[in-house]
Amino acid sequence: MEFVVSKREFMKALGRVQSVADKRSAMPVLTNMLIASEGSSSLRLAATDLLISITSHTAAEVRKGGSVALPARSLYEMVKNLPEGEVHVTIAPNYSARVSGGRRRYDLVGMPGEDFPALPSPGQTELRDIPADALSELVGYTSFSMSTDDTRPHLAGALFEADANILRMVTTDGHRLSKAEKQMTEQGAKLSILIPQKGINEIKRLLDEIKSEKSPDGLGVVSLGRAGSNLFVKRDETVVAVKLIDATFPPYAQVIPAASERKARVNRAEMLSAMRAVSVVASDRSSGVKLQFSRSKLIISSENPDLGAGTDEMAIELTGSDLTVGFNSKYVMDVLSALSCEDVIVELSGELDPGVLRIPDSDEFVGVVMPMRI
Amino acid sequence: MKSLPSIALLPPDVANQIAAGEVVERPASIVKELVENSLDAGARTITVSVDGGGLARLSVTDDGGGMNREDLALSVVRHATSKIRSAEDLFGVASYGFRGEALASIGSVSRLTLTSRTADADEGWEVRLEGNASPQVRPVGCAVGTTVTIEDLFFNTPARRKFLRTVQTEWAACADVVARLALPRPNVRFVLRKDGKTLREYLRRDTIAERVQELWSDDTLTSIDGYRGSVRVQAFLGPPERARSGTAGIAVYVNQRFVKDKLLLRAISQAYGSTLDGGRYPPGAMLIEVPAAQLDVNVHPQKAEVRFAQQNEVFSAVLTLLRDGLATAPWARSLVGAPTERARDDGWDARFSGVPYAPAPTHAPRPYNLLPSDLGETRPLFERPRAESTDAETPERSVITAASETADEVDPWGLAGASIALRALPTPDTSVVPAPEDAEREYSVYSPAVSLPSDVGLPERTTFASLRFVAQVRRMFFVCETDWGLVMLDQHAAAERLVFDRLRRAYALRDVRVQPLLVHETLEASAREVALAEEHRAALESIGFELTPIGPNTLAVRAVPALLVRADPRRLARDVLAEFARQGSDFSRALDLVLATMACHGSIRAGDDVAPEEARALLASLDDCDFGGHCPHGRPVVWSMKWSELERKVGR
Ligand SMILES: Nc1ncnc2c1ncn2[C@@H]1O[C@H](COP(=O)(O)OP(=O)(O)O)[C@@H](O)[C@H]1O
Ligand SMILES: [Mg+2]
Repeated sequence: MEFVVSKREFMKALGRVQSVADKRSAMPVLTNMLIASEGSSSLRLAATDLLISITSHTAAEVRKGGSVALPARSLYEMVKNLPEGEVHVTIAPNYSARVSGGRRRYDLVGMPGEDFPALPSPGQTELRDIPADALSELVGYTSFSMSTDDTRPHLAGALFEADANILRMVTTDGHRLSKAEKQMTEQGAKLSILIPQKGINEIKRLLDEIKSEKSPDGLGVVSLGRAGSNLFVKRDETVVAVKLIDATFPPYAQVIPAASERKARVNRAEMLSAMRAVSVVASDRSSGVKLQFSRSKLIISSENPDLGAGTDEMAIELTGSDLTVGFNSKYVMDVLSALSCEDVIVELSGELDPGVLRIPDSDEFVGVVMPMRI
Repeated sequence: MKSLPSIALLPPDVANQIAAGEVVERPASIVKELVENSLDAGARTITVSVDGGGLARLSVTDDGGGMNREDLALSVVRHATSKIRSAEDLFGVASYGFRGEALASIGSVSRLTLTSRTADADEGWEVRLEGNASPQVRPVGCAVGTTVTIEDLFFNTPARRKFLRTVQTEWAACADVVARLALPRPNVRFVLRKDGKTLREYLRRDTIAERVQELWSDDTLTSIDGYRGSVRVQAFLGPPERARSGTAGIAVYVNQRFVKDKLLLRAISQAYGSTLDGGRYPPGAMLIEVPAAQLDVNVHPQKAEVRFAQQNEVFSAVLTLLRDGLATAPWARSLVGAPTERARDDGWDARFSGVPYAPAPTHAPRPYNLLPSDLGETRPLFERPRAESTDAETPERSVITAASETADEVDPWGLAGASIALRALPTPDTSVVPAPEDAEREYSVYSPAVSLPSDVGLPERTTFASLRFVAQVRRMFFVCETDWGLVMLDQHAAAERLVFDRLRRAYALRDVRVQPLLVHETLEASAREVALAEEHRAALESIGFELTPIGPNTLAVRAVPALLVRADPRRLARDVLAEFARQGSDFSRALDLVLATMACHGSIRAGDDVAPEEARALLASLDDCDFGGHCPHGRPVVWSMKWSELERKVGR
């Protein structure tokens, strides 16, 4: 096998896939990435940790077709250190690769491409186009409240639902829940899947790359769909496949309070900074902060028997009677920092009933946080 | 003409005598049965009187629950027991007795008198059994509790009498049995009388460690206390040079029952590795606890054998905990001098010495592969800086033990003689062996019985906050730097210790913060677990749990302690219930263990990536806790090495 490729294009493709290659895997082949020719002007690059697989393409001048598996991390580092311009790669019959650019040259031991595990493919499944900015918002509004405990798979991921013209993402770690929805103008296929935490992270990375392109036409679309036990997310030449969680997400609708006795409108940035300031006193992440809501002000305070106390207050508008309630400050701050609106609506009933945070005049976001008894 | 004998049921008296052959070999076996009955009856004080080696007269008096008239009459009938009702009950037996044959058997080979009074009765009752005559019951005045008196043992079975040894030997055996039974029951007072004189008294103690100290006053025993899964192991084991051939010097208990279990004995000898020859055992005791449901005790008439439902798990738990624990013993530390051996074993500086780096399966050093040719090295690899001040002049360590002079002095398991035989340790320089009293004084440790190696913990004026965090290695340890040396911390153990302390403090202040769950978790539970959750509802709430039965076999977790929000509520609840089950209903006793279990869940684990900021925050908080260099289960957490030591190691 032999090909010539521009360093810049090659680096982009390598960067996309190499992070998935599993550095700690017990299967040596998984620390590699696959490079295979497709026709005379394109290369396919792929890596997998068996949970996530990423495939990307790049234009190249293929002089001799074939495929090879090369150590992902090392190849990436080598190409990075070559001078700008063209990179020339030749694979010897023993699968050792010579990678050269200018007068620099590396030799790298490889394996036959056939040894690389077969990657999931969407086959004939039709993918649905959705705006990348909508997907990015769904992820941003919800990813912070997934559980990080992989032994509880039903919580360690995000529920993604697509109805005819609505997209929804919901996450919960058992203490709090976030739900985000986006109205779609175009109709599409229905879907209800549970995406593991790692998959969400990979989707985030893909979206970040799209954002970094800073195209004047906006973020464009990504196509997405399920085939078998995998979710496929495709953008241009890159396909991310994520092995879905086979578990039942808790019945989230039951958890979201239908009505509330009190409603407060609070400046988001002000509340976030007050929460941060006051929780300095809390001995660790689990110590709660106390929120005292009254007609026109909110007092936020925290007490730590070993250290002292801290307090701050701000003007708010409250409908309903006064109420004092305790929260794990991290849970509230996570919601406040995920949003970007000017004000937030805080809905409360009793001191032991779940609190709800929303964007004013919008149904796009609901954050539910269970209070703490303090 | 006489016909050939045909099969016939034995008359009950003959059956009793045969059974007596199994249960009653000698006075000591009677003492065992009677004291066990007293313990089963909830006695707080038990007095054992032995006259004429127990052959003339033997009595056991307790202040337990006693028996009413009916029960008293029934108690001497074979297979009459109040402790189990059906065959199913045989699993999970918590009492010592359950066969209901001891009193009947003893009565069939002696003159037996039982007097007993329950707390709510005005008078007591007495029943007398003489050989096979039918029992007589009559009212008597007596204190609440029970007294069993045996006179003229084996008066009707002369053959048995012949097998008995001297009065002195029989007395010593009785005294041994009492000591053996007293060991796992520190909260019971035992009085031992011989021919009218009180010779021994074991006072009520809080911990087994204190009882062990009282029994043996032996400071060469290494204390070990830890958990693995549902197995708890407590052990007090002597150094290998005091090992003796055979098992007479070692006492093994399972769920407070003294047993002779080959599996557990093998675990002990394996834990000592090559320092023990086959068939030799160190002096001391080991107590293990497993969930009662996983133990079959009905294997042996004297109940000396047990069967584990999960024998492999038990074996490996015991072996690992003993190995880890023994690694900290002063004798083990002085034996591990050979630097290459040691380096390879804990994989810590192997990279510098060119030895292929192979992570050990556990992080605990296994210091037992001592090669005789390696004895030249005399200092341990790690050393606490202040250990330098230990007296280096003493060429060898000698232990002087008062020999048992008077014939009346009882030495349970004959240990006194053994400790005289302590040889100098096989290293020319023993200055690195810290006096155990010294170690004990210096640190406050959660488990008072843990003996500390020289380099565990931090020197007095070093605070955890002052440690400069360098790196996390193997996702298991923090490596830190100080002005005087290098400090390594076990991340999980340290985090666990911190959470434990916070939980304990919050509990003491009645300020346990509770995080109710938004999404309730349900868990399948046994009827017993459901009952436990109900019975201990208030106690569970006081530590931040809300567990509600929502079906005969289902519990809902509705709230967890806020400190443990990271943990899986279901597994947490299950482990806490298991701990309650193990501890019985005495919550105050269970508290620390329950909190330790909880802390384990809420903590950074081995294998977790820890960001530098998080590591620093953890270090900074450790100074506030009653740390003592150990995790709540008693494992050491910190190791340190002086720069000078490191420089010497690398030949500077
Ligand atoms: N010291 C005692 N205090 C109260 N009850 C006793 C005592 N000793 C024996 N008993 C009663 O007598 C019964 C029979 O005792 P025993 O023959 O030793 O059988 P087991 O202990 O196996 O039940 C016991 O179940 C118990 O109810
Ligand atoms: Mg009994």
